[in-house]
Amino acid sequence: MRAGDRLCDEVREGGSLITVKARGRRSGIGRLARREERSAYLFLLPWLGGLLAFWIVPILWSIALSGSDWDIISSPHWVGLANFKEMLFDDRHFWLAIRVTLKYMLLSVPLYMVVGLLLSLLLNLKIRGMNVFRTILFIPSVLSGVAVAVLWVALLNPDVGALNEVLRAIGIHNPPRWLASPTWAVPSVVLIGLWGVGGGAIIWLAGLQNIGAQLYEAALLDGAGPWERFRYVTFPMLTPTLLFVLLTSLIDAFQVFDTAFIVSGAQGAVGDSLRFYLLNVWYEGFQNGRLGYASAESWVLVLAAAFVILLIFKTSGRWVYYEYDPERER
Amino acid sequence: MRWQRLASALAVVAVIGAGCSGGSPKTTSSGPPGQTAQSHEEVTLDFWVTEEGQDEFLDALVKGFEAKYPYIHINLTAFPEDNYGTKIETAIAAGNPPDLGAIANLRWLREGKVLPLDDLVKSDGIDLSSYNSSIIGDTTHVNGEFGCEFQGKLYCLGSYLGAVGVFYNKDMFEAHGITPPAPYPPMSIDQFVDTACTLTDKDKGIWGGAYGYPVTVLPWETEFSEDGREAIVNSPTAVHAYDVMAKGIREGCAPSLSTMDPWEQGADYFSQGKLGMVVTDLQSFKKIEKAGINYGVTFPPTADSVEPFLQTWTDTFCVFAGTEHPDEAKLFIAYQTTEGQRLRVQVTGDMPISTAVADKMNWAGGIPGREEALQVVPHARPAVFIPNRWDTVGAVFEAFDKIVGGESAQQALDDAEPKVQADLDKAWKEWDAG
Repeated sequence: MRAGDRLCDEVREGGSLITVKARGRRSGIGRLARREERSAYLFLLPWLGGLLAFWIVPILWSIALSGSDWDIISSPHWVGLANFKEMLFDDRHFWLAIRVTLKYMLLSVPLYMVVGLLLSLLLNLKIRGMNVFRTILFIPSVLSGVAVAVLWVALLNPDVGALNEVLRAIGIHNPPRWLASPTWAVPSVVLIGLWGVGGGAIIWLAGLQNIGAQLYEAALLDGAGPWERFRYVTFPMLTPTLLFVLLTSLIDAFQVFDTAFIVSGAQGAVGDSLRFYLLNVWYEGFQNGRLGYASAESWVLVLAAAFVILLIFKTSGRWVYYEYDPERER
Repeated sequence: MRWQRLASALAVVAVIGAGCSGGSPKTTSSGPPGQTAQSHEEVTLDFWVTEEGQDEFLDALVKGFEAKYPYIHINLTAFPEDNYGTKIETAIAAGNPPDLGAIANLRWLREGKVLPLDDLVKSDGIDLSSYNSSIIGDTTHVNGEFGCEFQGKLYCLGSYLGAVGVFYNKDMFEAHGITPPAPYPPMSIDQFVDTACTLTDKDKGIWGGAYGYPVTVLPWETEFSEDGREAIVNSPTAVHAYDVMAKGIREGCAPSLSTMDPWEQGADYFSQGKLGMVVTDLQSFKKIEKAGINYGVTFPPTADSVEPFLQTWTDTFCVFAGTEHPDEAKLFIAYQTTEGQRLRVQVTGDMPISTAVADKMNWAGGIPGREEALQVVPHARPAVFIPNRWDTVGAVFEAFDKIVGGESAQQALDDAEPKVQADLDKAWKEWDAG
């Protein structure tokens, strides 16, 4: 009797699938699989330990802390929802940080996406030396964020910076004071980020190169011009990439810290103009010693970001087109 | 942000370092402190310092102390300044703070995490009468932010006196026919900016003055009431002072902070003859003298009708309450403020915290600028106490930027006032809640 026949017999005799599997586990192959499974968990153990110790426990602990007044050096006291009440009704910096972060998000996300897409369209052209251009464009993305920030602080210096020297040379006598101006500080950070847009362009480029040539051929046969080909072929086929870039850009915008920390802490911007949300959390936690309050603020950020991301996912079915969609296939 | 930078420039210069319990044998000494090595078991004190504060003076201090007390070993650990306070607080929370460190937060004093040193002063007969009174005060809240006294107790003893003052180039004053200022009383802010504009020579790349943000230069009563609970940033006095200082920057008589930070680069630019006057910390005497600048020292400028104020600080080394070796740790503090003061003069040339030490060591050495500095610092006075001050003035920094950018001073400061008051109320609420 073949193995398959024996399995069928057992099922016919009323043995459930689980029974069959259980019997299978007692076989030689089952023991091997079990051993492999154990080994796998053994290899995973250090990572799981790290996940537990450095992610899960701190995350759970931060939930508890958000209802406390813990300042590190004294014992935490339970304050219930007082931290949340304070941030909503009695903390100017909380709302200021939200305004600064939202302003950055509204300016940066669309700009980076559009510029990244335009650059990727250029990088997708079939011309000689394109790989060199792609490399040049990508280089800023691999540079340290701190180094880039320091460089831009010098370039954006309102008095002796290169950018304002150029603006003065072309007749703009009173150029913006960039990072030193409360009005221009956030746009300046957006400008700094724009330099690294090559990283996003590479993702767009990957999306572009996944679009089948036959679609363009068909469009050409139908008499479509460049705009029609972009509007009816390229853009719809890029919507999965658009979804990915949109989500990662939004998450990045929620998480602005290093650039703001460097440009406001080292040279240039001052005051409240660059008090991004995470920077504000850091101030509360590690400068003001209010770890409980900072934890509460962190959870507000997590919930806000989760809400935005879920909203985008919920609506994505209406505007994201997948060439192969298993759901639709069914 | 900017105000934290100043806090760093002041405190950290002060916050040099600290330490604590160590790896080698942590046995308790068997006899009273101060005795010879033969009668003691070895003790290791952990001393945590900031990386920025780990300089040649600190090395010399530790070396000198270990030579005097061979049974006590100092285990020096340096942390980046930005993380220093957090490192200490984490260690305190873990029940294992260093033996020695630098005070970086008033809460440590209020919550009993640092040992008072009044008994040490008595037992070792340390004469504080010649110490600068702004650091070693005898009233509540005297310079609590950067000093050693808090609510009537003494928590640290310094090895030098840091102070914000004005270095000015006497040759430039003479070349422009301007009478050099006396060490005290100070120039008004109008006089200071006018003089800066007169000294400015754009063709030679010389700024007449450098001063940064008003809130880091002017007496704190310019922006706050005397009890520190009311923001008066839009008072006529403040509006005028901010307007004048912004005008000085707009007209190129002084660099903006984006171009030059007086706290970081002021002494360098001054040493290169690129500044006529600079408001900065009085700690770069050797550098300026080595550059051959004929300099003078005067008190920082003040706003109209506001009592002049001079910010001072010191290295706030302290003994943490969790130490297993309080006696040995206090020995180190005593050494640091006695022999350490002399060592510092030799190694860095900084001004001693004690005028008696300055006289004894002839710190001024007949150099007029140093003599003037010694005439400036006795006029230091208690500061307005504002809890978490640097987190309450963000809107003021922003307002000054707007004024420099061309907005009306009255409008910018009117806009800032409710924000500062809100931040101030929050800071006091947290402080009062304990």
